[in-house]
Amino acid sequence: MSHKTIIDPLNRIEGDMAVEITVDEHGKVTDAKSIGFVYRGFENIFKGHKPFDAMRMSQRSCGVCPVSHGTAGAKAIENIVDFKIPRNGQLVRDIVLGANIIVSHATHFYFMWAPDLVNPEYKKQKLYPEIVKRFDPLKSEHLKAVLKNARIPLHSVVATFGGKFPHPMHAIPGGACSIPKHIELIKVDTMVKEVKAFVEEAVLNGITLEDWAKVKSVKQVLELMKDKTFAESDIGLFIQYGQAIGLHEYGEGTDNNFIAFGFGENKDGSWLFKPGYLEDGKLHKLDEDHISEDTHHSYYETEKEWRKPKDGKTAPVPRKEGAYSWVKSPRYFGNVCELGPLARQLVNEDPLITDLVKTFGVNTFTRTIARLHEICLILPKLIEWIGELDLEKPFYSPFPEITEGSGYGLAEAPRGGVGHWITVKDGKCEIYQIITPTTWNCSPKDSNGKHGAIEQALVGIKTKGKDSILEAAHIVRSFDPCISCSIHAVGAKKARIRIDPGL
Amino acid sequence: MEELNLIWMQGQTCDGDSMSVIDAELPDFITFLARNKINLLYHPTLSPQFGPEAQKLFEDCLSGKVRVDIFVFEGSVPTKDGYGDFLGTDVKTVVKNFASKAMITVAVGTCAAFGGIPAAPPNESGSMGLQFKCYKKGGWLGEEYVSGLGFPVINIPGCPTHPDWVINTLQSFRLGRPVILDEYNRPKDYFEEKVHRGCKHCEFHERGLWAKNYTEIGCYAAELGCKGRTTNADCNIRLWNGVSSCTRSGAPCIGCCDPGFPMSMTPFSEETLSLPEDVKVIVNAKKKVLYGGE
Repeated sequence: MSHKTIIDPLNRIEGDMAVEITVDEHGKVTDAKSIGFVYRGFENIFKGHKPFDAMRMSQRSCGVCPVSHGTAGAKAIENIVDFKIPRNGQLVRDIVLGANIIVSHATHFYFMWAPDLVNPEYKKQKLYPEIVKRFDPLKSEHLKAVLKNARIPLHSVVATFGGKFPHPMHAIPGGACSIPKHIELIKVDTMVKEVKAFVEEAVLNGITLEDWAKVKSVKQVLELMKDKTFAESDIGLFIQYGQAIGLHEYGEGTDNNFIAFGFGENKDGSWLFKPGYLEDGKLHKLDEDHISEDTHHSYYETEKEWRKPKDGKTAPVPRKEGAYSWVKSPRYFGNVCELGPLARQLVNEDPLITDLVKTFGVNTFTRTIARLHEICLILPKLIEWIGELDLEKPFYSPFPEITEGSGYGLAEAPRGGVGHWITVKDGKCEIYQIITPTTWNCSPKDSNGKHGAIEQALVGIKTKGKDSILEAAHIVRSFDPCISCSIHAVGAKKARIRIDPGL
Repeated sequence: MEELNLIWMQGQTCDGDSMSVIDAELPDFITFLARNKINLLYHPTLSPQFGPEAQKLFEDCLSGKVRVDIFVFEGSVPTKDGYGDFLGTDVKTVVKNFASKAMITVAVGTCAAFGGIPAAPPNESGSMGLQFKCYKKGGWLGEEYVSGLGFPVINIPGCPTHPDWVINTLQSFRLGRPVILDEYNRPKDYFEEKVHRGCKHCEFHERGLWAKNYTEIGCYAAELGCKGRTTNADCNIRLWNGVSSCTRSGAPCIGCCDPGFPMSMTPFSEETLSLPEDVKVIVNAKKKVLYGGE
């Protein structure tokens, strides 16, 4: 007999969401529903506004990855007239976005992910005392050091170009409106170098990022792990502990299709992280035209045909029969895809992450390693980009007033690719559609009965105890979803744990 | 010093105010809590406890077993049924229940204070602020609402809000210092000046030199719609992330702290509000001196 357990709220995730899992008598998860439960209706609010205003507001759909939304919005408007922005503008966008990705990854790892490692369920682990010392939320000195030496200085970098974080204002159609001076570039350069030094000393325990860049296989990592100092670094400790508690044993997406939209365009047109679509291990060119969304199990009008985002529609039907989420189901060629750092590095054919997945598979453990690895890949690049800024040249090219046309903008957010689609008529927005990485990862079942990526990762796992919800929490958080998540595990006997209806 | 319990909840939010507050610098947010003996009972992105453990805590708060000294709410309140189901009930009920228990209720961010973007037309979810609907008093808790200590909802707007505004306001309560509120129940100290004050382009404004386009030298008001002259916030005196502000970095102000944001501010690139009298006087006087007439 299968039974229900409800975990609500599941926090340390951005936004509003729930996941409900059905557990059978052996503790195996047989079904999963990923539920987004608060509607804001941003896309309909933008209708009738000027494209520029819609873009400024669209950034405010996320306070954790506002840079990606701002960038995608500006690119969508530029795409209407096929506008090429000056190199400085591109560089500012990439510097700010890079800083945002690093901070978001670090905040996720230290403040949202690591507290689960401290869970008393793992008390008997040999490394537990060390884990508590380093990661105990709201107590650990190490976490404070991360705030002080990484998050705060990198946000000062963002603010130098964009005024503030969250919601920096630099990205506008035509480039960046930043007006830095030489002295500010020197300051920004110094700050990033200090963050790099901090990561090398306090996170990698003495391994430089240049050395880390030479690590291209699991074998090399194991070699490094023989060195006690590295083995005790944050990454080293996580590699040991993550395997000890079995994080590498669950959380696999069954379809294993990955999408990345590309980040960090170099002068020669190559990418730091290239865009692409990886299906069954084969890499294809990305074409946004293959993206379509289904609303079968979402609280929106059900339509026979799946809609492409450029013709997208947001028609809410709260508590629709058969629906269970405010999130739509985007698919690529009709396929379920995973987005995020792991997807990005697989598409990018990063040697270390490719080898890691070959060795361990796609799971909660490898997703987290990919996230930490990206911090090490982006940081040195920031210094290079800051050096490339040329104050003699423009950051912005005067951008025309747009009255008609359609366009799209794709960008990478910390937790995966984000897309904005816009149609302008008589100078006003007629259609504005946003697909976030979490929409992909947390999507509900589509009309073909295919579960979204997180749902797939949950189905089939074996929970430790009848009331154990920790594995499910690990899985959901390993995707770093951007919607405050409450897991409803639908499971055992009496255990329907719900908040008192009087609340 | 007795420990104070702080509970932080969210409605229709982007999490940006939480993200902003943990960027507090002197001291950092964690140290701030420890020094002021504020016990962060629950925070959606920071709390280790979740699921049953968190639910037990909420129940204890509402039954009176655990005291709720400070109730912080982030995001607007969807008041239409079905648009904000949450914790087995819905956001609007959670807000009412916690606000009724709290000694102090604080709305953090423009959404929680005034409704913000989710409350802009067509406002399908019936979204509003805790005690305001744009400029109008009322909101979800109603005009008459007062917290346990007899205060209305303290509004600390901004999209996002500034960490100092939140932390220093809480500290004022901790130290028993007065927090004077303005007509929109904002702590006056942070919101009595206009964004324009302290802006590095002020000099151009006085001389009537207007930037015609982005990244050009000049004041952004006339041609780029900067809302700095009509928006109340000390952004350019305090600075953001220790170094900058929107106008300082090159971006015209879009009035994100104003109760009317975003509708009264769009189009962002055009002037939308009439200038307050005091600013007009300065503009005219300077023009007279420098250019001999209007």
